[in-house]
Amino acid sequence: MAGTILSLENVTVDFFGFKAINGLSSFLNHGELRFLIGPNGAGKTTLLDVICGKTKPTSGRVIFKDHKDIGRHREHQIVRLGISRKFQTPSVFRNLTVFENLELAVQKDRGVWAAMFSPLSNEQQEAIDDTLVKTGLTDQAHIQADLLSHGQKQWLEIGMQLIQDPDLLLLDEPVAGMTKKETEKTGELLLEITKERSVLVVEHDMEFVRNFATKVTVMHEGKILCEGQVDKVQQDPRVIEVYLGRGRDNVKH
Amino acid sequence: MEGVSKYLVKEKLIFLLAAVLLLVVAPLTLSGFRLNLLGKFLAFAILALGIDLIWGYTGILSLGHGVFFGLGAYCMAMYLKLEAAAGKLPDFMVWSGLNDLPWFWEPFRHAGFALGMAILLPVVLATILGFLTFRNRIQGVYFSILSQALAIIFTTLFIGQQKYTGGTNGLTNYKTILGYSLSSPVTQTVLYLITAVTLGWVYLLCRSMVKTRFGRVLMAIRDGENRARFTGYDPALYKVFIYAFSAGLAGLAGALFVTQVGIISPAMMGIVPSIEMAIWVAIGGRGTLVGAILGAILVNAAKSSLSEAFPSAWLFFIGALFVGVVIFFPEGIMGFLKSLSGQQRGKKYYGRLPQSILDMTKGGLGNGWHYSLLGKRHR
Repeated sequence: MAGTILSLENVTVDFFGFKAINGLSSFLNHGELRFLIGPNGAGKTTLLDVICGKTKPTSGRVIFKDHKDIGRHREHQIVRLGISRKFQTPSVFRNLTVFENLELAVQKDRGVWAAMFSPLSNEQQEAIDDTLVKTGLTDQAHIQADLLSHGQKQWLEIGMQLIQDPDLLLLDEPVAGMTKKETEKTGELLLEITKERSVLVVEHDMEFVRNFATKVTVMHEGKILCEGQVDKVQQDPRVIEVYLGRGRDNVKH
Repeated sequence: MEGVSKYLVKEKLIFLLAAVLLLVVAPLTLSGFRLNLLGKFLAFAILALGIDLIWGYTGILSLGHGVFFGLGAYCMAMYLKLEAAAGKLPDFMVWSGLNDLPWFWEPFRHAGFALGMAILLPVVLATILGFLTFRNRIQGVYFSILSQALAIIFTTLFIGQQKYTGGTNGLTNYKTILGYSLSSPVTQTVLYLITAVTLGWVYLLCRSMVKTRFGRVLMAIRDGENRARFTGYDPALYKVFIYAFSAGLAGLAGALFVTQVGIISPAMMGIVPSIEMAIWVAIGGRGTLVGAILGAILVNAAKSSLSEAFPSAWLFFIGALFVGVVIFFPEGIMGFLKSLSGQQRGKKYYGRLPQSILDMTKGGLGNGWHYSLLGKRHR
């Protein structure tokens, strides 16, 4: 499980003159749980958008496993390569049941004919049951996703990512709007997930980051400010500056 | 699970009852004129099923299905016209000064070819159009407007090319189909029965489609296209498929329509009929196949009986009916029937819900949700 799974080479995203991401380079190892933090507008979500193909980079390359430049692929193709994305607001298929939501995610062949003619295999059935247990939604399996609580919807969405068995999971603020208890449970779910795959998490909740992060990347104005162990990064004066918004004059280093 | 299988038995009984009514009772009791009208409505119901698939299930409002219907009808009409001309040039071509039959009319001498093209031509047109629009992620209102443009283009084209299409008058004055006289009651009854059986078959086909994962992918695209995309599905592919499929059904409906009604003209494929087709489905209830059938039959039945009873004011009644249904039953007739019998989709799962959730949702699970006309849901 050693080695690089994702590397970003000099990625720039230019929205009509505004550089949301500005010449960013970084890499992520196999099996790594990385947190991405930074003040609002730092470009964190845009970075996830670039990796999953929602936003095309203006310049630079995204290399995933041995795929040289996935920045040019379409979204569903990137998903099929093994990158999966969870959005900030929970987005599940609300008119389908929890089970049906997972059913759509578990199938590997997403063509029209397969959708009509290939029923669930026993393995897939087991994978769904397994995911239901992991996300604690077994009792809710046959109710409409619309009726779940906010936290449960987030878990269902994470479950839908998990069941796709991706190599890289991108999570955008997975604990936003969750209660303390739900947040803890989500953190444990994250640690469980990372055993088998790489995860990149954008998070604002610093307490959550402190509890579950080992390595964090701090972004600011479209660039990486610093990278490293969480306690080291917290001591970094540049990080303190962008977070506390102290005037530049007061900080001389 | 017992509740579910009971529900299936009930569904089968209703289907059988409807089959007996349409295939036995109606031909025995209705006059030739009424049976012919009913046959026309049943052809419309086939088209409505197609619109329901793309609008009710996939959330794409097409306001140009009249074109596909018209293309299907014209293909069949070309065959009927050639058979009526009995080896000579069809009358309108003579009036327009043509000396020879245009090359593309030639193969329509064969009924099989005409029927095949009635389905294939709409499918090909919808595939090309769908590929260009859905692949470029043209959605919602923009697609609806584009589909209206399609209706304008085709009516203009068909009116303009009088020597090939019969112009504003369209194609009419048919005599026989496969050698059988179209004016004989027996031929008309057989055509009616073919239409009714086709409708039953199309309904079962659509039903089995939406019951598979395919149907759930369509609903997933309707409710969260982005999520579907990031679950690895290509929404454009599914949309093109369902658009082409529903266009094929519209073409088939057109072919069945023209044999019974005896005329097709550009006025029947324009914007107004296209919008009406969407209204049938809205009134019957989107996302319920039975609703589409009921809507097509009931709205058209109301239209013809009101126009007989109030020749000068019937359009106002129809307008009031539309407005009334949209305001009071936003989920259409089926939504209303379901709220009476308490069989909402959500309620199917009541038995398996934990008590705590049942308590929370007291006062109507799913009851408060309504579709707005453009497919978004709101409370």
